[in-house]
Amino acid sequence: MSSLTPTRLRLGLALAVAAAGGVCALYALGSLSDDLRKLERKTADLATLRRLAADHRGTQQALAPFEALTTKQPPSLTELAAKTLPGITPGFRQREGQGAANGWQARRVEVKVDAPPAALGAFLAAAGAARPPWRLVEIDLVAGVPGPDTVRVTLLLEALEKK
Amino acid sequence: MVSPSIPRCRAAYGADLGRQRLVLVRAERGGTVTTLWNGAAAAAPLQAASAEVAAAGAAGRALLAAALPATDAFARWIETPLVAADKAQKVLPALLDVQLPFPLETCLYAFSQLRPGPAKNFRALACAARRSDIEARLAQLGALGLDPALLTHEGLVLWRQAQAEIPLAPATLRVVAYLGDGRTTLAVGSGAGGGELISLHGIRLGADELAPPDAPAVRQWASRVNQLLRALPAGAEGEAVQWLWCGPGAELAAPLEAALAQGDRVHFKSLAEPALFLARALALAALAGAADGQLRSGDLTHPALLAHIATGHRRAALNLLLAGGALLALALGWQVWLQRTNDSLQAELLARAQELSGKANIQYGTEIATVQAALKQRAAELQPFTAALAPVVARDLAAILAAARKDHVTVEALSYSGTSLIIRGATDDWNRCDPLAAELRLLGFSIELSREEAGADELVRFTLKGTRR
Repeated sequence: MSSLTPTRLRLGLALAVAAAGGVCALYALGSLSDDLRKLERKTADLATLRRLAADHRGTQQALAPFEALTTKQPPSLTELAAKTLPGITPGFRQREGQGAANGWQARRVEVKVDAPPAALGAFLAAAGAARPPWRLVEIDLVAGVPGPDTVRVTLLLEALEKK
Repeated sequence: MVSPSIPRCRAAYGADLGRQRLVLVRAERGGTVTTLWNGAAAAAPLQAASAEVAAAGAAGRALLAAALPATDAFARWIETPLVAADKAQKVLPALLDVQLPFPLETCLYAFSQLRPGPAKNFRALACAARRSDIEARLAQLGALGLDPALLTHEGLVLWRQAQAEIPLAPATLRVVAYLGDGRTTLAVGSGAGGGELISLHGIRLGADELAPPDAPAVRQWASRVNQLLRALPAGAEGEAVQWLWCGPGAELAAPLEAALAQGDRVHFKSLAEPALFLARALALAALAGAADGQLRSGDLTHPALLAHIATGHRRAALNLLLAGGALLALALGWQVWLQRTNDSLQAELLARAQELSGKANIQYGTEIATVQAALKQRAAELQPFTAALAPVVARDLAAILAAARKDHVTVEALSYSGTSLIIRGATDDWNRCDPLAAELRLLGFSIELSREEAGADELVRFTLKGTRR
């Protein structure tokens, strides 16, 4: 059996380190595609989150004008009707509202009225110009009822409010 | 054994020791060759030169190369039937043993110029010498204060240096003839195949024997040389023969040329500074790192070469260690980088998901789904705000009524909720509600139009149903 000289020891050690390096390098090469795929997936997820965040920021901006309002209660429809539909008394009925973001509530009111078209237009314009605005959600209109110059309408109006 | 690796030095010394004369030269990188001694081989006057050689050798700046005379050495081409170099190398000693006139165990030997032969075999030039002859040569040199690291078969060195100084024409047989004071060495080769050595020969007749006019030694010398040349493999018909003289006795070439069988195709020439040629050849070969035919091997190996070999082993181990370490560091570094990058991406992913969803605990791998669910709910909460900023129903209603007025369509009833539209009305012409339907399509509605035949009032009643996503 050959003797264990310092030269052989050094060569043996170097070979062991080289073999370990080779094994580690082979292992790293073998798992390279999996590792890169994992990183790519995470990067793609991050990009998706960034896109979602950007989209969400756009939607979120719709809140700002309402939060900036000094009064967060819409004007009374009765008062608006008194101003725009003189001599006419619409029927009002509260409908079920729904919760909205940041403590706001979407309030809905059904309005039934027989009025001349021009007066009705003025009422809707005043409601839409109010702050917070009344938004027309649905409309049912029958012309010539009860008289030839009037229309019978049922309106569903929605306004946002915060108490 | 094959030619060993020898250290590359800035200078090398060549020593040509004859029976009574010594030529000692120094060759340096750049081609400078300096003669240190050219005279009687006596220790005392040589002291300064040998001290310089010893000092340069000890400092690792230079190597000393000396020659083993061809008369004391053996050289043969050995051919094996094997074509694989590694297998052929294993059988070379056994094949040499068969050809040697003395037991292989008493010899030191070297193989050089290992290459595939013409017959798909493998051939190598074997040089060998008896251990006792090598020890005797080392003792002769040692007595002069010279300890050569390289002791090579002189014929090989003569052939190579002659090739370097005078290139050999293809259809020429060349005889490099070294005339020492006590010996003659012949290196015979052919210009075919780029200048291949054919054989090496030693004759124990030198200038001392050949100098007297009409000496019988000249005829004896010529007879021996002609005998050797006749034994050569038959060359091409009419191949020129070129004799190149060198060695301290080269000036005695004229009577020898006269004694040799001559013809038109035989030419004689003397190499430059012939007396210094062998020493110069030895020094330049050592400087170039050529150690073919090196016979100072085994336990006679010079300490400088042993140290060089040990350094080579250490360097090989170090290089291997560094390469392994670099691979290890690269592989581990890659894993660490990968883990850190992955962790960093995951942390950013989680932080953004938490920020967008408003949830602190999000399960690994569900970040996108959690955020999408949270944002969907948030979008539903924000829908009344976006809808309030874009009052679609009021805008469309105004557009629908304007279109009806323009198209002279009387709207009798209308129901609209943003996605579903029903208009009942009347026109004085069957086709008049078509433009209205077209304009509603432009607003994004998909329209169904039904009409009734005109009644007693001559009006066409229609129902228009529209839907929009």
